[in-house]
Amino acid sequence: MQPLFLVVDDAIFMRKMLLSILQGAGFIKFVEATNGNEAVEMYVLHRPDIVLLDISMPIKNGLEALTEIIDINPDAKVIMCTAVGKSSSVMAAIEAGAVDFIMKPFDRKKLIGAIGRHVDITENTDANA
Amino acid sequence: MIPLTDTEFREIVVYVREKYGIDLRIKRVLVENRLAGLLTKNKYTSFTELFLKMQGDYTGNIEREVLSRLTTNYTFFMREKTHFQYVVGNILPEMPKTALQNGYAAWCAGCATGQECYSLAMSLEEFRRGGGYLPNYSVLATDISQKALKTASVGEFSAEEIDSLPEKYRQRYWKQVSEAKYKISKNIRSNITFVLHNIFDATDQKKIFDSIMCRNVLIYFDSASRNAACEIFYASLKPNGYLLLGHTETILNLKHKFKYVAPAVYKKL
Repeated sequence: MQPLFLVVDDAIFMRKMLLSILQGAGFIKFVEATNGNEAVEMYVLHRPDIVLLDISMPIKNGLEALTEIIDINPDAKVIMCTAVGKSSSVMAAIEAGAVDFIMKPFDRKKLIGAIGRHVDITENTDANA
Repeated sequence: MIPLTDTEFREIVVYVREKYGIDLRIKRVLVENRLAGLLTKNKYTSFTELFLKMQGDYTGNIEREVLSRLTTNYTFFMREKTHFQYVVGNILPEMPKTALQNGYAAWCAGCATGQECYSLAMSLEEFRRGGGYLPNYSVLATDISQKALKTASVGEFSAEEIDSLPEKYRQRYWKQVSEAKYKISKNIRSNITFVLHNIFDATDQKKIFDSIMCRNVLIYFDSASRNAACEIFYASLKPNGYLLLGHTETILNLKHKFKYVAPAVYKKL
């Protein structure tokens, strides 16, 4: 079954880039959010298999949203998306329950590799091609 | 239509080739058709008159218009190759290894049919082959044309198109897929992400790129739009990141925070 992704970033540019890579790898199910508040709402509404969550966002940042998502579901698969130089935020996110992190802009192999570590993508995508 | 004489055509070909590296030798019809409108617009009676006016125009406006008309939808591999040399000869060597550990991130804004981003990727691969420190890299290539992006994404070009590349590039990075077509290597292709995107769609950029190439795109914008584009590029670059424009373009007369460092190369401080 195709995993459902929740892609969270306040920059439409970054969301487009993520979606382009994911679609290129054969994934087809996505929902999007533009800030931490929306991310939590969308998580509750859709219960995605995996969340790609930006750290620096207005209204509610990624770390705050992560904490709420983990409160809702301690087994949530959240991969943090971060810019270079945010290592302290990454550590805080891992401690708060994020399963992985990837650096911006997104390296296709690393992104798909990170996803593959946390959801089964062997049957329904060409991600391993 | 005013005829283009053999002598006039040769003059234009030599001038454009020597100054911009653009080869128009087999583009006679394109040159004649695209410049004819400029003759009519300016009431010139011959291509020679246009050529003389262009050389005497200290503002450079006529030359820019000539270039614009001659190069719209016309791109080729390693165009303005000094920029690719600048990336591997100046930008990468000056970046600290700690910064490169996470990879080199480039944005080709207005990538058209992909020749620019593939040229950049091949240059980066060559840098690595030569022993340069570059653990990995990613290129984001965007354009507003779905059709152009599709061509770019497929990565197949004719033998004539890749003919301008050095032999070693053709052997290392291209695979013949039919009698007349060559395809870019999977390794190169996997480092490039193509996205349909208008530069002005997003003003919420984050500082994530080490360099941005936006060449021969700003020439089509008015002053306000060029300013807006510069702001977006500035916001998208990491500190010490570079903006590379086309050699016929300048942002020196615009308000921006970039520092000019080389012809058509600007640095974010």
